[in-house]
Order: sequence, then C-alpha cells, then structure tokens
Amino acid sequence: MRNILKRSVKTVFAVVAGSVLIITAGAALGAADGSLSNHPELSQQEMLTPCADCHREATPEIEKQWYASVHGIAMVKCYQCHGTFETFKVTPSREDCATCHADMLDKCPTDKSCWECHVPHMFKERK
Amino acid sequence: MAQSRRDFIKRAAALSAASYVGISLPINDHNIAKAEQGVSWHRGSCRLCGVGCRVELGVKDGVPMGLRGISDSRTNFGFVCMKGMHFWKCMRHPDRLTMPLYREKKSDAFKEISWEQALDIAANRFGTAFRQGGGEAVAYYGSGQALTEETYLFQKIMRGGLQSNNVEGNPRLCMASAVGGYLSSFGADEPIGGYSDLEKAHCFFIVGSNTAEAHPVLFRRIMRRKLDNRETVKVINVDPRVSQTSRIADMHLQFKPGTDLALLNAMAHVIVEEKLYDEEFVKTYATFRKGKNEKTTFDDFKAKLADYTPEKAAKMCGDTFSPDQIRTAARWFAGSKGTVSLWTMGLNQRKRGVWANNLMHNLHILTGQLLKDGADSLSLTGQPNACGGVREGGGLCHILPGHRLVVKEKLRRQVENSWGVPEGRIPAKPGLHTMAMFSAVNEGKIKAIWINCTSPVQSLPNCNLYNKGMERDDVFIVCTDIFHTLTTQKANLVLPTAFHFEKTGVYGCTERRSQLTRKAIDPPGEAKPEVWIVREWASKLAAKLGDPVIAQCVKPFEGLEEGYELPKAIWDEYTQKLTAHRDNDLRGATYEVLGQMADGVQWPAPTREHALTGGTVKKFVKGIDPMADSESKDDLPYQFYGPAHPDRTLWIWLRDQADPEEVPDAEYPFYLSTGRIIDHWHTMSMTGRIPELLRANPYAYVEINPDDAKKLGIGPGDMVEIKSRRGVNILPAKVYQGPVEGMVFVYWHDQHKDRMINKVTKDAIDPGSKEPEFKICAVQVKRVSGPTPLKPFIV
Repeated sequence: MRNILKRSVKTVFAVVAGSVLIITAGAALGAADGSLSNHPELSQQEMLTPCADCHREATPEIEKQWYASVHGIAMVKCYQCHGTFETFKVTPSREDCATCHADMLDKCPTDKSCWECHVPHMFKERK
Repeated sequence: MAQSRRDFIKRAAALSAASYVGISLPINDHNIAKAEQGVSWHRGSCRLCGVGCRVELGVKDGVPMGLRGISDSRTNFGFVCMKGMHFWKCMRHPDRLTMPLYREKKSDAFKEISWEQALDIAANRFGTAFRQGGGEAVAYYGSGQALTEETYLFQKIMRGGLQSNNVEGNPRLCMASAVGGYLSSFGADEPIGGYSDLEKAHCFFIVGSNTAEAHPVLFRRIMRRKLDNRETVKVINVDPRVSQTSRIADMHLQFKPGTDLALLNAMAHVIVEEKLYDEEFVKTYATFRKGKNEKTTFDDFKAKLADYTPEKAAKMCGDTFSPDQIRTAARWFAGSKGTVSLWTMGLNQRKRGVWANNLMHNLHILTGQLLKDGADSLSLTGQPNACGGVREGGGLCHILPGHRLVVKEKLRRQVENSWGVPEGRIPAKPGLHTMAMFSAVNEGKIKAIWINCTSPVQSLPNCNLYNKGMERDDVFIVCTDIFHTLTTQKANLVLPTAFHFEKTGVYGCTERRSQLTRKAIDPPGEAKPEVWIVREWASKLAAKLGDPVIAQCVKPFEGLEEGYELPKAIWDEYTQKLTAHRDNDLRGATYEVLGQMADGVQWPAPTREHALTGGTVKKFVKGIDPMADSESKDDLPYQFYGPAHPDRTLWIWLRDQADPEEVPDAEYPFYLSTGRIIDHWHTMSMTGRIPELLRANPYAYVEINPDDAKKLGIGPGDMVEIKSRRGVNILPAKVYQGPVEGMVFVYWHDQHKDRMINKVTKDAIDPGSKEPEFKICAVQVKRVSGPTPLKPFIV
C-alpha cells in the first residue's frame, strides 16, 4: 500500500511536467492565527491541491508519521484538524480535537494542550 | 528535491482548476466543538451516509456554529468523518435555494414566485396529468436522504390520493439487491445483528465495500478492533480494487470483476468438504432451495458446489489468487469465534446482485455465524435513511409501509383502513421501478414527476439516455432540494426545502436503528420542510380534483405547526398504525422516547419499555427480540418469523456464477467500475460547496493499473478517454496499483459533463431487485493528451 501512495505522488509530478499552465500566485493566505506566514502564497486555483500532495514531499517525516497513525489508516485528513487555508492553524486547539474527542476533554488535564501528551501526527501517548 | 517547494506547489496546482469562476466557497470559522458562551447544542444524526453517527449542532443566536460527535452514542462513540464534520456549513451557504422558482418551458429562465403560486402550479399540473392518464401518468422519485416522515407522506398522497404506485427512490439504485437477499435468505429485510458485533468479531469478511471511504466511522471501529487484536482478529478484503480498506487486511483477494459469485461458492465448497459447517444449526434452522417454490437437499447443494472447487474458482476469478488462499479464507470465516461480513454496492449493484447477497448469507447460515455475539451478515446501507424511510416507510413501487407487499390484498386493505380511505384505493399492481419509471418519462407516459432530494440526471446509469426524457416539455418536473443540482436544471418548478436540523424527523440507519433529529434553527428565506409542502400541495390537489379522499389523506395533519407537531403526527400515524405487529414494529419508539435516547432505538420495539433499553440488538433471538418470544412457535431459541418465509427457516440457495451483462471484448477491452470517495457525498451538490471538501477532491480521475498504463502509453495525469457503448468521459489518469489489471475505476461525484461517469455506466438490471449494474461494464481506454488544466464544476 505504501508504494501505491508513492505512485500517486509521481502522478502529481508527472502532471507538472506536462502542464502548460503555470498559475500566477494570487490571493494571500488568510489563516486566522497568521500561522501560514511561512507558507508559499497560493492562488485560488492552487488551493485546489490536497495538502498531502505537496506535503508528502515538503514535510515527508510528518506525512509518514500521519500515514502510519490511526488517523492515517482511518483517513482523517490534514484539513480535519488543521482546517483549510483561510482557517489554517499549525497547532489545532483543544476545541478542534473535541469534534471527535469531546469526552476526552473532560477526562484530560485542563491546563495542557492535547499534543503535550499525544504526539502530533503519530497520536501515541508520551511515556 | 529536484525542484523548489514553491515550484512544486505551483506545478501541482496546474492539475487543479484553471478557473475558479462560478463556485461559491464561503469560508466559515473553524468548528467550535466545545462549550462556548451562548452556544446551545442540539442532538441529531449525521446527514451524509448510512452509518447513523450521532452529532450535536452548536447554535448561537440562531446561527449554526459547529458540530461535534456524541460520545455516548453506540453508533459512533463521538467520532465523525470529514463530511460529517463539515456538512453544517451548507446551512448558511449563499447558494441555498430560498424562494420557489418556476418556468413554463425548460428553455425559459427561472422566475421567483410565491408559495401560493408554486403550490397552485404543482396541484394543477399533477391534477391535469392525473385526469389525462390516471395514476400511471404521475410519479414520485424520492431519496434515502429524505426523513421517514417525508417519504411516508409523499407515498401516502401518491397511493391513497392519486391512486398511483409510481413511488420510487434512489435506494433502488443501491439497496434493492440487499433487500432481495435478506428476504430470500432470511425471510425478512434488514440485518439480524448490527454494529455491536464489530467489537466482538474475530473475523471480518469485507467484500465489495471500500468501507474506509464510504463508511469511515464504522471503518474506524473495525480498524480499532483489528489494531487492538492484531494476532487474533483476521480481516479478509475481497475486491477487484485494492483500496484504503485493504490497509487493515490480513488477506486481500483481488479478482476479475463479476466472478465473486464463484469465489463465494468456492468458500462454501471448502466449508462443506472440510466439514467446517455447523451441522446442528443447519439441520435445525435451514432448508435448501433451487427456487422460491423448489426445495432441494444438502446433497444437491454439495453436488452443485463440485463445480466450484478452489482450483476451478481461482481460474474463473482470473488466477489472481491461489486455491489455497480460498481455503484459508473459508477456514478463517468458519472457524472464528464470530465472523461479520460487510458489503455494499460491490455486491448489490450487479445484474445478479440478489444472488451475490444469497451466496454471502449462505456462508453465514452454513457456519452458524449468525445470531450470536460477533457474528452477522451485515449489508451496509449507503444513505442515512434508505432503510428507515424507504425500505420501512413504503418508498418503493412494490412495497407499502411496514414491509408490506403491494400485491398482497390483505396488506393493502390494512393500509387503506389505517388511512381511512376506501378499500381498493391503492392499485393492486406495483408501480414502475426506477429504471422503468425514467423509461416511461422518456416515452412521455409519465406527465408529471416529483423528484425529491436527489439528482437522477447524474445518478442514473447510462444517464444520457434518461436525461433526454427529463428535457421533454410535456413532462412536468418538480424538484424539492436545498441547492440547485443538474436535475433542477431540467425542472419546471424548484421548491426550496429546509435542510437537516432546520426541520424535525427520523432517520433509520443500517442496523435497524431509528434516530430523531429535532429542528434547531430556522431554514433560510422561504425554504420549507417537505412535510409542509406535501400537505399544502395535497390540499390544493384535493380541491383541484374535487376528491375528498385526497383531503382525507392529510386531514389528520391539518393546521399542525410544521417544525415539530406536523412530523410528530406523521411519525405517530406511521408507527402506531402501520408498524404495529409488523417485523419493524416501532410503536415503542415515539418522539418522546427517541428524544431521550443518545442513539435512538433498534426495532422491533413494540413497547415503550423495550424501546427505552435501546430496542432489539439481535433479531429472532428469544430473550433479546420480543417478537421472537411473542411469535414463537416452538421451544427453539431462534424464531424466524419474517414475512417472506412461511416455513420459518433460513434458506440456503443453490446459485451459480453469473457473468455481468457486459464483459470486455475486442472492441471494449476493459472493465469499468465506479465508487464513492471519502470527501464527497453522491453528486457533490453539498460537499462541492464546502471548501475543505472540494479542495480535497476537486474533480474525478480515472485509476489505471500501472501495467495497463504502460501498455497504453498512459502516464500519470494524462487525459484519458473512457468510452462505452453509451457515453464518453475524458479524465486525468491516476496510475495506481489499485484496480486489478484489465479494469479502470472512476469516482462518480463529479458534475462536469466530461467527467460524469454515469454517462458511461450500464443500465442492465437485476431481474429480481431491479437494481442496475453500475459496478461493471466494458469500456475503451485511450490516451488523448498530456495533462490539461481542469475546472471544478458545481451547477
């Protein structure tokens, strides 16, 4: 399976090579917390690229950790926790996790972020 | 990296939209899923698949703010998928339909009109059609996403009012073969067990289902069970395509499309030859059948299976797995402490879909992998209310509410008497099934059709053919929906409806579970709940036709407030009068009870007391199912009281491998199959308007096996023509070791005319269930160009 997804990366690259259209970067990103300030500017068209298509190359370790995690197997994709460009957060808040894990918020320490105990993208508990 | 990150992003995006024009993508604030000042939380069900996840909508000052799962719900334990997390963003979308729209001719532009005008027009046109052609000239085509109260009331007006059994819905396209399978194997529709078996199962047999994408939250439960018990729980995935679901599989059996009946028979062969069957269970509870009225014997069954040795079957299936793998699969299936099988359209959307379902059930009956913890033959339903509203509520042309067959006079009388309409009012002949209905539209025999909450222009197989009829100016089309769809583009009258949480009603999911969603916010503009629309329309229709019987159909509902009182009265009529003493007895599941439950009630639930426990986890088991006790005929612990098997046994069927209607040949050398993608719902009129979901999959592509791609000179991203005898698509290629060699695969959500794959699919139907064979047809595959920029398209 891992190879299969590798191939889909190649798909994107090959498309690139054949494409005649290079889209000019346009709209500035509007993440609410300014956390996309280091991200390349994207046009509206460019925003139609699934996050993982780029991040498999741009941040391969993170993508690998996610893919092997329960979120990766269960297809909980980047945007489900991080939002999309205009609402993007590098670090999801407790409220974001609560969409699925509301009960855990009642059980976990209230003075810590979720990721202080659960390793981001791997979701293994810190020992 | 050979190129900069910036270059990579720019170039990757070239595959995406060349233009963004025409799609409105408002950005909502992020989900607010935990308590916030002034936010009230309203319980309901998810809107977007058949799992039945329970969710809460957060509302502040009348505005939806976010959505979260309900932790104490036994369907999802608090988890939601991407679609579920985001669907609330449809509620305040600027594209929502907010006023009735009308045009006399389909070439005219729509004009906004008042509700008074709209309902007059609908009543006049249906009244005229009825006067000219009777009940055969009118039709209702509904949806497995409509609330039960809506489907029930529509079919009541059609049958009791307009004397027409032309009542159908899109569940015909996805669930009809499962219904046929349950009725003919177990004597009763819908599964015996349910989701609670998943955490107790030791073997999962997943066939013809990409559960990970089509039922993600249920897949999470299976995944969890497997990951927590890696050595002791086995997962067998059977599919011509390797999918995300395969990631948790111990064994994946990939085969030539359409040969899975041979595989299932071969597993039965192993089970019989190696004496892995439960002899006592079979002897006590099962009989063998060649036909409905043709009994046979175990020895005949065994002789039939001689044609399906693992060696022979492996060859029939394309030599893609070994005979020993079949033996191993059969041993795991039969020998586990509990086996759950799960399937969806891979078995159902087939010319022999009922047979495929029968052969699946055969394995469970033979091995006794039924009626006990962790064992079930569980057909997953695709839509949130295909079971509750359509299968139980009378939403198909041959069935009346409460699992009653139209052809049975006694059952028609029960319904007529419950409604207080004259006996004989409901025609004795079933109406037209979906494909026959749209053929009749093509022929101009149906003069007025009401299409509710679905888009057949895109979702019918071989849709080019049926779209011609819908373009006719002598066929009056009403659409009720929340957004424009490709089907509203062929309508005369478009009526804006309230969305989920903007109205009240019940959904019944895969596992016989009915769950209430109460109105939490007002619909936008002048959008109205369907139950209000139907009631008002029926009143006008009664006046127009001067028919007091039509008025009688809505008399119990006159004057009731539409947000809660009206649907409650409809639910009460349906459950108290029409499910009483039927196998889906819901008398205990009142709004008052459903409102108390985190996760609804599983039928049979004949009493309030039983409903308050959650209902019936396992049908047919004495001590668990109250009807197994009340209908008991002997001392045996299992009582098969279903309406279709008077002999009260489970039927093991002798069924042969049967090829699809269309198989590849020299001219059309490839198989085509289609399916659902995780980020989009059906025809993407909702999910395509949510930025997170659209961006994840802005358009369809065709998956091609790398070996085939090499032979055809197709590179990743090349534009590829997929052509059948019926239609053509041109899509970008994804070269991917997913589909088996010789098969291509396309997701079916895309509305763009070049990428709408149902132009290509085949409209052959199962002779029993009348469900089309979407899953298999023959196509040509040809590279037409290198990569080309594409536009996402939402009408």
